[in-house]
Amino acid sequence: MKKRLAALVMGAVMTASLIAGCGGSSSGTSSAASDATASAGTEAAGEILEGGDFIKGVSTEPPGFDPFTVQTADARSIFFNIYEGLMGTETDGSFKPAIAESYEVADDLQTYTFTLRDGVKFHNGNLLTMDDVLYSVEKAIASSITGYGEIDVYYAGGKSYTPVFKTEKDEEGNDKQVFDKVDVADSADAPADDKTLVIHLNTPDSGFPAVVTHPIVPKDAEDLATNPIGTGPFMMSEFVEQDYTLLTKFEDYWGEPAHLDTVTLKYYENTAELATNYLAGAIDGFNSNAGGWKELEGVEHIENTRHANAVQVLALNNEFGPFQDVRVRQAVAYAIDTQEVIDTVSYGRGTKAGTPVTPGLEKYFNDELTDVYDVNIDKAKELLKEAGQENLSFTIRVPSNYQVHVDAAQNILNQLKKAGITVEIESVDWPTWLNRVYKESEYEATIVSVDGNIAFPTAFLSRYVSTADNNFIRFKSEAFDDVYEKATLATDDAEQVKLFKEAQKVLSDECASVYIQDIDAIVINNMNFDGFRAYPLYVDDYSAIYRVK
Amino acid sequence: MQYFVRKTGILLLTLFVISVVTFWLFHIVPGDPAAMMLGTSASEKQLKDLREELGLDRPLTEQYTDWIGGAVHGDLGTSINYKKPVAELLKGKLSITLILGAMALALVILIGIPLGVFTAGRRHVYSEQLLNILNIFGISIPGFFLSILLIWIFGLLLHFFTPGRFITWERDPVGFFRSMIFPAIAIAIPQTCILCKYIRTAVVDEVRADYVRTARSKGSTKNRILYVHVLKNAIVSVVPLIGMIVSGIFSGSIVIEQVFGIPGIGRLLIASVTSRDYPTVQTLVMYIAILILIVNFVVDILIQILDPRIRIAK
Amino acid sequence: MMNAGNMNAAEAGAAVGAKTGIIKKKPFRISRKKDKGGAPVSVVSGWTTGDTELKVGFVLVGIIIALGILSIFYTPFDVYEMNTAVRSQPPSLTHFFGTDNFGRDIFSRAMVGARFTLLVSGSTVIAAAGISIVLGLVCGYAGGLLDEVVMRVIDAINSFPSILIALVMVSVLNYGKLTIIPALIIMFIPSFTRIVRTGTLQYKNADFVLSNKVFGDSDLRILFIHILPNIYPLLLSSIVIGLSNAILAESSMSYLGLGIQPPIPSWGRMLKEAQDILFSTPWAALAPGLMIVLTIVGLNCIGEGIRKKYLS
Repeated sequence: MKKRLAALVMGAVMTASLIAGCGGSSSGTSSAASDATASAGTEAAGEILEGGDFIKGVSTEPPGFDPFTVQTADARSIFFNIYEGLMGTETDGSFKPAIAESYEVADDLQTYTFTLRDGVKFHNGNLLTMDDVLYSVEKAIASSITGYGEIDVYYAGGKSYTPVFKTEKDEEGNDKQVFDKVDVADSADAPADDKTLVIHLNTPDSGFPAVVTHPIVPKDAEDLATNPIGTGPFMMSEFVEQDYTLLTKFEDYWGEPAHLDTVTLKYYENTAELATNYLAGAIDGFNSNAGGWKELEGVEHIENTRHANAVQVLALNNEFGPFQDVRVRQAVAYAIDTQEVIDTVSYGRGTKAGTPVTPGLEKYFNDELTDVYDVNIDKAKELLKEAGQENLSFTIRVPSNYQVHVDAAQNILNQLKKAGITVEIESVDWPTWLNRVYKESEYEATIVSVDGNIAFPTAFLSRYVSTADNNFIRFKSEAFDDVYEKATLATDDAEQVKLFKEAQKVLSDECASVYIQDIDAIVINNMNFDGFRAYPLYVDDYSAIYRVK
Repeated sequence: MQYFVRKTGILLLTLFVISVVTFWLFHIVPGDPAAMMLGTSASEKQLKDLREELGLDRPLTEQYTDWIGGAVHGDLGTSINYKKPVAELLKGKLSITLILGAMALALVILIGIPLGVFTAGRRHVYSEQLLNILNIFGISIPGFFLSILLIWIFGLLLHFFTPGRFITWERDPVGFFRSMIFPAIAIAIPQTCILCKYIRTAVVDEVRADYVRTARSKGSTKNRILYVHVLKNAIVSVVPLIGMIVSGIFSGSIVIEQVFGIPGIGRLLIASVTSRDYPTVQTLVMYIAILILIVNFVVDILIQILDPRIRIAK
Repeated sequence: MMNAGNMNAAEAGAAVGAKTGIIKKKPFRISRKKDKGGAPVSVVSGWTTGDTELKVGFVLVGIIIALGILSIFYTPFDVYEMNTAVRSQPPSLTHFFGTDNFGRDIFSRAMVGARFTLLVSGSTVIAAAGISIVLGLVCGYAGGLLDEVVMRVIDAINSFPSILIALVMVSVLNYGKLTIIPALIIMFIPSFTRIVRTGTLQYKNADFVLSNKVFGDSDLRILFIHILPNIYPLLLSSIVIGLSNAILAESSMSYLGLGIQPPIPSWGRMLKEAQDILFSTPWAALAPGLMIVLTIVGLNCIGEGIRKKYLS
């Protein structure tokens, strides 16, 4: 069971795409991410005007709108505006009831009871019912959505629902647990009304509210990929491939309605074009890529900064010859001045990380690890000598569509030269990267940003579990597996925080990889639009944006 | 007639070769569309399920026969990226690229032919030398660099157009043409220069022909000779270039749509190649290849009709 | 396609050559025919007989090659070192073409770019020409089924937009620093082969070939000693123009991120990076853009010159 847990939890991270979209960088004395409305111009903003059409320039198209199959970071950012889960994420990273009106958790952290909100409507006009929720939960389990594998049984409307798994052979002939069906039976334990959902987990998990932020969709939804129907403040009304997505305000939204009438997400080929197109007046706003904001100097605009909630990492393949030796990995870490990468590539607008957990997740971020590997060329050389790798050379395989990472690779190449380490750079396109590097771990080192799909440390840490499918770094450490498991099972909040920090410490000690920075996401609007909300997630909340005089 | 049959046979054969080559190539390419769709957080199981759903786990020959069989019936498969029939996907895009191409072609012909005749009529004159130099630069400048220059000068500095803004025909026909005109210019410039150059050569060739001397001696004016008799024959002699120009416009638009952000076939093609959307790429490649083949086919036939000399030469 | 225009220029050479051949049946012996015809001939060739073009072309291409070779030993500044202190400096006496957004000297980078771009394009075209000569001679001379098959495949390749061929080849061959080379070779084989084949067809029944055959020369000897030299001028001008196409193709691929890999600077990639900062640092596009254009102008001039001098 543990194994499955690990495997399923893993789904969490995604990312790279993320970075892509916005990546970026920013500046500023690393403006704390969470202080949402940060910089220039905001104060000058006038009164809120209702209505208006906002055009946002973006560079990554979502590969469809079905939240059960599509999990790229940029798609999730759109889903955030269209769909809602039982719970929603708050700007401070806590969870608030959304489709559920309230929830209760038993002391053992294994039983959660959700009460559905009345009068929630889908974009197609239908009222949301328990059937829709049950359908969505089953679909999430069947699709192996992060965390849903923990569900042992759930109850509603006088029935119990038990997910059943069967064992299948995978390509290598190993046994794999595969979702089969949900057994439905009458149950006396189940609440009789149609408003209450009880979920029982096979393991204690205080992070479960994060799991159920996953979208609830109507049970009769035909084709979510092209026709998404949710309950969020915006509905997707048009999608023209390679051109734009039109989001329209959902008038019957149960909560606080959006200010804007429409949001057009205009797609461009690469992040580079965004600043130029903004200056030309083709778009009202964009998320700046590295340096894109610099183009705007001297041009009036509104700028907000948040963490990208993704950590840029120089991932070292722990199975690659020299990197099997922890001393070599440490030597690389000592040879790199992450602050220089930040200053050069991100124009100073990034936050040092030192661990895979984003600094934006303040509660869990272990800030003691930030400076562990402060640049120390002598030490690096010494370690290399000890390990017998004085002539270390390796190749960084970097995704070509993320200029930020390509630039960082070049900067790191320069830096490592000083420690006598030879680096070659090989840039590959994104599909090749996903396939070769991410899936097959055919690489020596790579640079990418890894984000979390939920605002909880498991999203960032689960991939380091030895057995995780997405452990593309091929990191193996019993110490880590152990403390990570303890952390996920911890029932006491303070204890759990401590354990998660400890898990990060293990990664730092073992120097799993070199964690560079959380690149500031700089959200640019022109002077006609203001409003901004930062979440510890890689999302843009369009319901916060409004027109100003 | 025999010529026609033979040409048609060759046409079909070439189409078959293209379809096979496209299909096989795109299945050797490393890259998994399922992984693209799911992103980096996907599990093995999700990947496997999706691959099954998309039919990517079946034998290649089966996938090919399915595809080609469908294509014959007008069913071009389903885009992996967009989960909708490729035919539907193409509808909106094809018209954009065709209009863009038509605009470019119109520019090429309207400017290239008169310019070619004009320069042919004036030798050893500064204007000709200047045009000559411009011509060489026109042929030499890479499309994407030309586009960057146009965007910088006419977009960012002079504000003649808004780079990055594309307005659909349905929403505003005038805006549509405004967003297309500069890309069309970028595509047209190199082709115009090529056409201009060959028209000039052809006109000069014609001027030496006997009939010109005859016409001249009969008292026709120089311009009349140039623009009526000579031009007619010169155009006939550049007909073989049409295929090349159309194909050049098409290829040009692939890169230029990219630079200007025009959501036509070109952008779709590049995006589909990078995301390994096999059905879409195959269909696009087939479409473009068919188009170019047909243009060449028509040109061949046209040459036969217009210029009996070639028939004899065969 | 990569840049349409140019691909075509090479083919136009072939087309026009073929046309002239068929219509006029004029053998392309190497004959330095001067324009004794007077005015009409010089009109055909514009305002020169080819010498000016050749001179201009050799000077331009020579400068670029010299810069490329020089870059092996010396560049004004380090090409790779990022220096935040001199970000985005406009052109000055220190930095002739300014610096980019990472403080790297653009002129130095363009010099190194010249070296790699010329290396890639040159080796591509030479390899493609070598393969095409054999293929074209054999197909043209032997004819029959072999010819038919090869020509169909070549037709098929020709119907693809060459950018697609390049994209597919780069992916199929796996990434790697120089995958762009085989990708481009495949792109160029069709047009070169066609030129050689057309030429071979023209001469295989020419009197001087037939007479040599009667004297018992081997097929191989006939192909390489008698036929090939007659095709040289046309082939040479096509190769020169092919070279300019290769440079365009390479820079287009690099522009799309699929050509020469960083950190090696290449013109196409530099232009792409310049596009990011077009508003604040427009000069970043200047050096690589100018170098591409001047190189191609130079090559086109040489090709034109050869054609005028030896083919008209």
